[in-house]
Amino acid sequence: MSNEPTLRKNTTQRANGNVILDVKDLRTYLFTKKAVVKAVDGVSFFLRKGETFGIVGESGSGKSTTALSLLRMEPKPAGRIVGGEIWFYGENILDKNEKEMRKIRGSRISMILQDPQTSLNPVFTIGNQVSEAFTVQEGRKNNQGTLLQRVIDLLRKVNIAAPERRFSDYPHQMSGGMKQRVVGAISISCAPDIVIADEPTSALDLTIQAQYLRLLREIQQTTGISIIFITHDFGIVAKMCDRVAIMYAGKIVEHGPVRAIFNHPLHPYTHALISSVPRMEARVERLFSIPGQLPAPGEMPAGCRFAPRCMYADDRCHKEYPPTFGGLSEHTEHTTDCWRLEDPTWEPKSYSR
Amino acid sequence: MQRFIIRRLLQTLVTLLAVSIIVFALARLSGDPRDALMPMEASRADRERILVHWGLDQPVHMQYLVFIGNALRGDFGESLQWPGRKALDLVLDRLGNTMELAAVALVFAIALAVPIGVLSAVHKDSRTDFLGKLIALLGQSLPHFWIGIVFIWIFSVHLRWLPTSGRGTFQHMIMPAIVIGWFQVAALMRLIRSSMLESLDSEYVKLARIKGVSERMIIWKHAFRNAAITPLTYFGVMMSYLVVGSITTETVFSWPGVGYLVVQAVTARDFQVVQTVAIVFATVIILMNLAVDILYAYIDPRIRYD
Repeated sequence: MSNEPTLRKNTTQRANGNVILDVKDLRTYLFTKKAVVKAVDGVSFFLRKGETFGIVGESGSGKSTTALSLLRMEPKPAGRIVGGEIWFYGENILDKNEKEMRKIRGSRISMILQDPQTSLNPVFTIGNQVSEAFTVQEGRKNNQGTLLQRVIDLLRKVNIAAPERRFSDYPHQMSGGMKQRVVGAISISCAPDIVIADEPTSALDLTIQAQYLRLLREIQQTTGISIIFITHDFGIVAKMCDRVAIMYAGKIVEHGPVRAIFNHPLHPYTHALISSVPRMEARVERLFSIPGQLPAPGEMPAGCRFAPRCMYADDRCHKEYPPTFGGLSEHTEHTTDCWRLEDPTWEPKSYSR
Repeated sequence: MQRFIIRRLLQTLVTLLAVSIIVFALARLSGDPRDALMPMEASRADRERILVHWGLDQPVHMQYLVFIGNALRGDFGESLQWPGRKALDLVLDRLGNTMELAAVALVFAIALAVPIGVLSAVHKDSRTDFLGKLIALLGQSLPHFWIGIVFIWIFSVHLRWLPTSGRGTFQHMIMPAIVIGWFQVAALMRLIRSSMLESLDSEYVKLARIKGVSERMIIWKHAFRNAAITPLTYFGVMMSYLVVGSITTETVFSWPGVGYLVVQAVTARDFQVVQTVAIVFATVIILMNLAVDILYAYIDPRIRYD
């Protein structure tokens, strides 16, 4: 199995220009007593400076494990990165030791976690937790006065009102949206190159969600950071991302610019996912849903992971994982792992709606 | 906070009143003190005289009212065993010794349980974890008096490192404190271990790692500070065990504390002293629990008592 796109070869996945992160064939397995779960099973993607890259998938598809692997924080002790390369500014992150990783975490690649209610430490003040991000990376050379000022500036940057008063508050004195702003402030405190946002808004209510997404975009515009946005919400992908990868059972099944994926999804799974997003203008009795469910860990199909649920699957799909095909001619950088694309004119049928 | 403390102190008074009734009644159930105090051949007249002298001819509720009335004025009566000595003075004289031993035992228990609990959480299911559990469980499963005697046999008789009994130097304190404290290690260590495991698995620890915080700071600052809240709840219970544990241990090591005193008093049916000890112990334990509640608010900012 090769990662180079075959056929429809008018495009190439290897990107040009300003690539700061290049993940190749990443494999993170979870070694449990019962089985080896291939949570991330040969994932490749890249990230350009200043862009937002989305990773979409159901829970259990391996998107969070992929993100944590970039920081070498795969869930221990069960999780282990068993293969692949993660090139970050010309250096392979997988060659770094723990001490070197600590220099990268927070200062060059940082992350926003899903649930603001639990991601701040309940027994330390907001000020303490934000300033820790500075002191960890820069040592204690800052004097208290400048540190305080920097924390306040940072809190102001994420639109926290009266930051000089909020400084000595504890997390339980803040709302969920405000806490997530603080987590956002921590993530950008050391001007990182990449912020990984792991479903940062799924625990927030809708109006706060919109505000938070706007804030992230503002920050991105002023600082030029790249964002890896993990979500299961196609609406957010459409709003936030430049390019997107669709993950299914540990593999990226389709990958490309957001517009290409939305207008011409080629993988039957992507196509089904997009078809199951409810639309305002369509009046339907029931929303479309994909039959079946994700394969259980340790019971991976030998061939295409999606074959058991796929309406187009044939014998070969069940036996052999498909190669990566390039996309339609008008879309560059669009790749899909599906046997059907051997026929250069094939497209998934639209579902009756 | 102030209102909370005042309210708790008032509750303490009610609790103590209940304790005094129970203690008073229980002591009366243990039999006639004259059987223990007076020689077999004492005459009926002498027995009658003693009964009247101590007020034991009065109905029980009258005896209680007299007792509580005096107690409120700080008078717990005279010792039956040592006539002329005030029961409260006897107890208070020795309370310091008992608290001293309990404090050293507490320090020992914490000094052993915290590292074992934290390390066995960090190295879950490893050899360290197993060894920690073994040390802790030994202390809990072996009875105080047995460990005490074996310690004396090893460290005093054979090795001649430590004195067998009595009080005086720091060396005198080592063995009894370990015997009392060791019993607490198991429970404390398990509480710390499980709350550390929970803490280490939390999102805020994950976020700290994402910030690049070193593993040592993660364990001791982020995780332990949170994990310490649960075992703190147990401190009140633990204090009562430390105080109660002093009874056998002080006897084994002839430590001149309240525990040793109460054993002597019970044997002699010295009502006044037994009652006083029970009430003093109850007061100490209640105050310790109050102290724990106050400490709680300092460690966990989410708890404010108003």
